[in-house]
Amino acid sequence: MSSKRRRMIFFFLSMLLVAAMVINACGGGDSEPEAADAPAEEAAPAAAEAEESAAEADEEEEMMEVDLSPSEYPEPQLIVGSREVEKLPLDQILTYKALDSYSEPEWVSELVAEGLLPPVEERLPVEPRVILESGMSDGIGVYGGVWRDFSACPTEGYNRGAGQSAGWFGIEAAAFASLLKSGPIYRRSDSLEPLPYLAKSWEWSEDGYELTMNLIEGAKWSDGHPFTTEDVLFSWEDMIVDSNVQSPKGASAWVFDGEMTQLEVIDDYTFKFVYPVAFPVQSLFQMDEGDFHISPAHILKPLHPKYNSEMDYVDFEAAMPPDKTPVVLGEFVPVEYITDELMILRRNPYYWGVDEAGNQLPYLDEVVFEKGPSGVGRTLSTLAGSADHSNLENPSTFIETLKRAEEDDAHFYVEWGPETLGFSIKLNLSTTLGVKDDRDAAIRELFRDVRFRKAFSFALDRDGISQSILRGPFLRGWAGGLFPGSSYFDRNTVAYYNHNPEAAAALLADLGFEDSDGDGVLNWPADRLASGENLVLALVTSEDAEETQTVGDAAVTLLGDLGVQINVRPLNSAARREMNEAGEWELRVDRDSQTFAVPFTRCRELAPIEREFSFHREGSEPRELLDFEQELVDIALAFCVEPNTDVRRELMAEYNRISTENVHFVGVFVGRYGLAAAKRFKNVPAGMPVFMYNWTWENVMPEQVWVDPSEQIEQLRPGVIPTYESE
Amino acid sequence: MIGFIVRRFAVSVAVVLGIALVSFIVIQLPPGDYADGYKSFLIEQGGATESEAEAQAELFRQRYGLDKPLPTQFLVWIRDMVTKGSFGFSFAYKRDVGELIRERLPRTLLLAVLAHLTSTAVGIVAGIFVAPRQYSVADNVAAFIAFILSALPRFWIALAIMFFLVFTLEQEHVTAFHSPQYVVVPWAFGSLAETRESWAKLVDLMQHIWPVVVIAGLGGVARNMRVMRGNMLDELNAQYVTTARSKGLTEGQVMRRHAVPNALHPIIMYQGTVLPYMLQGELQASIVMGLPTIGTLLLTSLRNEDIYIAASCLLIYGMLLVAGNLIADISLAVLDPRVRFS
Repeated sequence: MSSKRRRMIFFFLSMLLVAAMVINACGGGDSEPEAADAPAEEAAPAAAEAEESAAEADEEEEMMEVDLSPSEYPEPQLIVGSREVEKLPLDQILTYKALDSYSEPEWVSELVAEGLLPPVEERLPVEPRVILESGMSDGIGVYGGVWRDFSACPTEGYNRGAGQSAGWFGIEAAAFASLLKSGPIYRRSDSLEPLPYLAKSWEWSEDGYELTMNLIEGAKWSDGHPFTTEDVLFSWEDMIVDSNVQSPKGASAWVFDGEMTQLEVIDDYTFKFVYPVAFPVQSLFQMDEGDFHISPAHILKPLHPKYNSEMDYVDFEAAMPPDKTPVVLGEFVPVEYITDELMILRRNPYYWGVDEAGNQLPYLDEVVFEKGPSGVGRTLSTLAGSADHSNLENPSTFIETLKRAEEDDAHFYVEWGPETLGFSIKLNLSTTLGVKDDRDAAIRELFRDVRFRKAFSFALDRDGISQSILRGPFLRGWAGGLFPGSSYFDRNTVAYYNHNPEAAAALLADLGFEDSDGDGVLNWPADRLASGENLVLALVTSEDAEETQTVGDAAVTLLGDLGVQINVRPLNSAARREMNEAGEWELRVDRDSQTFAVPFTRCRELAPIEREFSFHREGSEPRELLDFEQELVDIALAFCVEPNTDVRRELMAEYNRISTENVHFVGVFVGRYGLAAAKRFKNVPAGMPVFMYNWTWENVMPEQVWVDPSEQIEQLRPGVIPTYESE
Repeated sequence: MIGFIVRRFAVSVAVVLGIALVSFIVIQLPPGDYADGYKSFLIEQGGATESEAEAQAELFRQRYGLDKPLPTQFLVWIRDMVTKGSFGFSFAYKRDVGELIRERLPRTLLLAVLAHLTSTAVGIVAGIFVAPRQYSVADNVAAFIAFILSALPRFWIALAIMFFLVFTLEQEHVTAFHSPQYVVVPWAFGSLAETRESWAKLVDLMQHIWPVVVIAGLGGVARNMRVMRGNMLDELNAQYVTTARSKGLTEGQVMRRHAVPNALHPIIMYQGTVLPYMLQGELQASIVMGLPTIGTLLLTSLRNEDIYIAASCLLIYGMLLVAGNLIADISLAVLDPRVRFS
């Protein structure tokens, strides 16, 4: 009975999370823009030194007794059932080479015999992309089977290069292919670079200004048309560079020091990037999934307004509508779509990958995405048994899903990834943006004093907060800085100012705060702008993320005990966005982005480099960076262009040390994303994170997933391959 | 009479325009617009910097007219609706809003009508059953259950049923109209095989939509039951019923031939006005169940400020409400001369 009650509670919590999940997934996003830039000086924190009164002498004595040093950051707790990622060098995961013979599913051979398809040898490239057995957790697979999944975003169409969404939740990952692939980087032991995909190799020129890319030779689009540098050039010139096209990542990502990168075609399968700076290694991450979308030139070029005067850019964007089978390069091709109900993808008979035995990939024949209005549907469908995969991203759903997974008849298992799900409190460090009066100015000045940030950090009982959100080993305290689950994280670099109310009180006293009117709330000291007033701070939480509200409530109590009054205000994502842009906030609880998990791909968001940096945003007046912020900026900029992985690690160690010692922001807790996946799926890499460089579908390498014939589920469209009207 | 109808119709058109205006304004009240959501999406998913994302968002606004002042947006929307029959363009679906609504309207109405029929049928039968047993245990129990059902929030009942379906019955695809294998089967009755498939599809449909029908329907049982019970009591105490009894008719015949047909009149009169009520019940239940009806479309579009969908849905709800009232007014006027001359 009690388990039922808990299920009930879980259920309501899940429904409350509907908004957060669907909006995050579809891009409404409670994302705090994290970026900005400008230099500055430390704004005199050493204020309380001048006056010498007896009281202050006492305080100093007190300070001597209180230990203000950080504690050691503990080792992570392991959750039962989680496996370590088996890291391998690239040459044990995949290669590009010709094999003696190739094979395909029997039903595809029949279509070949009927003359509907060319033989498999002709469909495959000269040297196909070979997934090696050494990198497969369950070995070479067998054909057939279905992957049933769930998408909660509308499908606009398949012109991804012009900004259309195919419905997310894995549809893009299944249907499209990019030059490189970042998702599986977590599997690599030899480097933290993206994996080759359509580009099989690349070389830097000696001076680092040119990067030559070698494409796979003889790969074909899903309609049989050859894939060449013409497609790359079209995707570059007429999609990315053309500012009228709303490409997912615009040309500005390719601007370095104010100058645009050039792309030069060498032959059908070779091209090069010519950069204005040496070794912009970070740009490899601009060529991966979602960033450098490869569009089919033979389909889209004739419809592009530049070449077709009858088209405008709105029509062009809609040129690959959802009800028409798109020409793609991915493992699966959407062949049927019923708005908001169902999408069926079938194997791409021209997919350019094989296994070591020469079997053309993918192994699965079909992928079905049920559509629904919210991401909760995916978890529900997984629990009910009608979906094969769900990402556990909301702690309130963890226990229920785990319990279900433990039942004997459960069709799925749960596995936990690295600790990359973090929540923190940000303090607004800007001295001008959103400052309307003396009190605002005094608060910002206070936030810029490291003693206050440390006091704030010392005030938080992180373990208590973690347990109040979710009992068990799922969450734990986090100091801020990099996520413990990041490959760049080093526990020894963390300065952890965890729960220590005496230290917090001593620091506040050192700042001159005391409760002079005896109302239980500290009063501002005479030498600060807000002199005599109560110390009252406003904290904004997010309506869409329940956990931020728990953190807010905890802050009210914990800081209230120290005499700091916190007023909490939950806002929806749109209101938070406006608030951030205007800089009109004091404290804010955030669910942090992947910047702290995969710093290299988002290196400019590590420190206030861009003007719009998350919690130190520049307004009309120049920003005054604190000394340590400037150090973080310098490290981040060096990190962005550092080709050597070891040096990058050193830079991040230094970054993490400076960030946590100065409490750049106040980390609260960190947890893990969980993967719920069908037990019948073979070759899902052990310990695969749900979200690291990318989400599940990009991480799993779906072409290698297979299902034993005895466990295969009936297909909705057996024997179907994508077909195209000849025009 | 014609003058009355024309007057009422003119007023209705004005009311609909008013609803359109108000809903359009209300939708725009929350901070930001669709392009803002698009912008944070670009930052979050595409890793764009804020200035890049802002430029893209601005391009988006220009392309879809979001940069124009509100009155212009409103007038363009109304103009296109009147001249082209277009309800605007959905930013999230990149499709014509009219198409989206057309796809969903039949299902929405199907659910609403089924729910309404459930509430009417159950209510009438219960009313007929309890009226001769006034103040008995059965009467009180029926009243108790009916009022509980209409007092419980529909979203709560929906959650409870959904919980039961997923965790106890382990029913799959609870948030869809069909199981995947039937989504792809067309409705066709040409051959025997097709008819059989369509029949199976119908059964599958019923398996999926009954919770919504039950939830939306049972909430309305109390009203119908009380109305029917009251009418029946009036009729049963009327002189003509006594006459019928005195002629020697059995109690069953009295009920069937006299009391029930007369007691049904007010219920039938009421049908014209229940359209909005039906839709409202369907809306709540299908939002929770996540069925692709107009209700869910309205909710998601309100959330991501896909303004033309939201405004068009509200407009359609408004039109149905006004149409229901118009029908009720006219039919009342037909019956009661005092109304049309006042």
